[in-house]
Amino acid sequence: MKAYYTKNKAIISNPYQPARCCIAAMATIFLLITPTAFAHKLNMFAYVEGDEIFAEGYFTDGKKAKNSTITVFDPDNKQLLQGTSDDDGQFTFAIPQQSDLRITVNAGMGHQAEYVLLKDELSDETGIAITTTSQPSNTTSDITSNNNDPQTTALPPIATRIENGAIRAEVERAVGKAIKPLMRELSTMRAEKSLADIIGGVGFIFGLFGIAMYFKSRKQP
Amino acid sequence: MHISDGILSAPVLIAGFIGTAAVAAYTLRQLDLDDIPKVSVITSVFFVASLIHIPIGPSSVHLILGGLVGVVLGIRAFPAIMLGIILQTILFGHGGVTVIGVNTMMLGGGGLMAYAVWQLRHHFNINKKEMIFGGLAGAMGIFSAGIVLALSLVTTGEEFIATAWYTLIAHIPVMIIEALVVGSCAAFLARVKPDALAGQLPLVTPIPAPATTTTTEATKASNEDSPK
Repeated sequence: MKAYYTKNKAIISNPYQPARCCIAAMATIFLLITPTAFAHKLNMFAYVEGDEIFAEGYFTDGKKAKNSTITVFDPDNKQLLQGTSDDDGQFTFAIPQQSDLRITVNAGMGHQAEYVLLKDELSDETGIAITTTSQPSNTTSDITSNNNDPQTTALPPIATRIENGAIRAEVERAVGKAIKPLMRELSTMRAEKSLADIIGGVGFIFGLFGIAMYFKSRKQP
Repeated sequence: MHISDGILSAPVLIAGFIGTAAVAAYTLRQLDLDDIPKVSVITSVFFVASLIHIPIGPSSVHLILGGLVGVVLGIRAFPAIMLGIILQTILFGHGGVTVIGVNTMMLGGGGLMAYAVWQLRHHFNINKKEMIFGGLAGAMGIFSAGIVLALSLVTTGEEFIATAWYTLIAHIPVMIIEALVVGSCAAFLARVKPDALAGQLPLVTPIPAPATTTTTEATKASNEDSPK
């Protein structure tokens, strides 16, 4: 007990020690309280649903990029269309053409992010959408006009085909809906940086200045 | 407060790099061996500050601390901020590689302007001037960075006055918080470790220096006198 007391007294008697301890403690608390630290970085995310493209801009702290300009470019950097996002930071538009699309969102004050939708993502989705809408109508018109008599033989395959189309569209919608939060989670995770990265950056700074100091000290005898 | 990739035009980006290289070359020459530990600590403070978010209500802010860097490091603030920005870009994707030059001019220039404001305190003889001018310097760091931001956005076709107003109004809360933080830091340092602050030495030492030399001469003289 006495040893502790004298120790404490010795620390306090040094004028710089309490301040230093205080700063160190504050720094550690500060770092521990905010385990996931990130900045006001704008992110952009776009996905195809049916024959429409949903584009969404958001900041890493979860705020949506409202009223920001969303522009779509083709691979040759030609502007295809432009629009303004709604209160949820979303902008929906029909697929302008079958090619890679570069979508940028500009939230003003120098914040801009971009997202590239590949042609595969477009054509795959729309291909299904087209088959689901066109095939059943063709086949149904076929049955009604040509085959009136033997419903028992003709119907099952056609019915399953129709059902297949409907099911496919339904599944697509359901999967799209289920994946949506996952995709959002993924893109935020990609944007977030952990504490380890920050500490790594600080290490870089000390390391670089250490190198600078080494060379400086060799120059000055 | 970073400009992203793909907004500014090539001439502006190149001008940013040239300006940054020139100012960095000049300020790095002023960097002495003794300064390096201090500069590295403040650089890491700057680097970390803008990565940590402080939630305020539904929104959140992060400090920028360009003003603090200016107050503590003087013109050495520029290379410090430059390194901080480079690392923020590489590790966190803040801004972008092509805009490192413009971003450094923006925030590093803010640091230099903050230092200029901080130096004005020598012309005033008031209580708590470290607190007041530290606060003003903190606000100045953000203010001038906002002006540069607006200026560089003009080149993209955004209207200057409107953008400048919008940017400055959006940053008023940041300016207030920054002023409080930098002001209290400056006051704290002035009390605990005054030589840690930039711009202290030139005005503090020359005045006592002749006095001390005269006293030592006087004591020397008296010492020389006494044996006789």
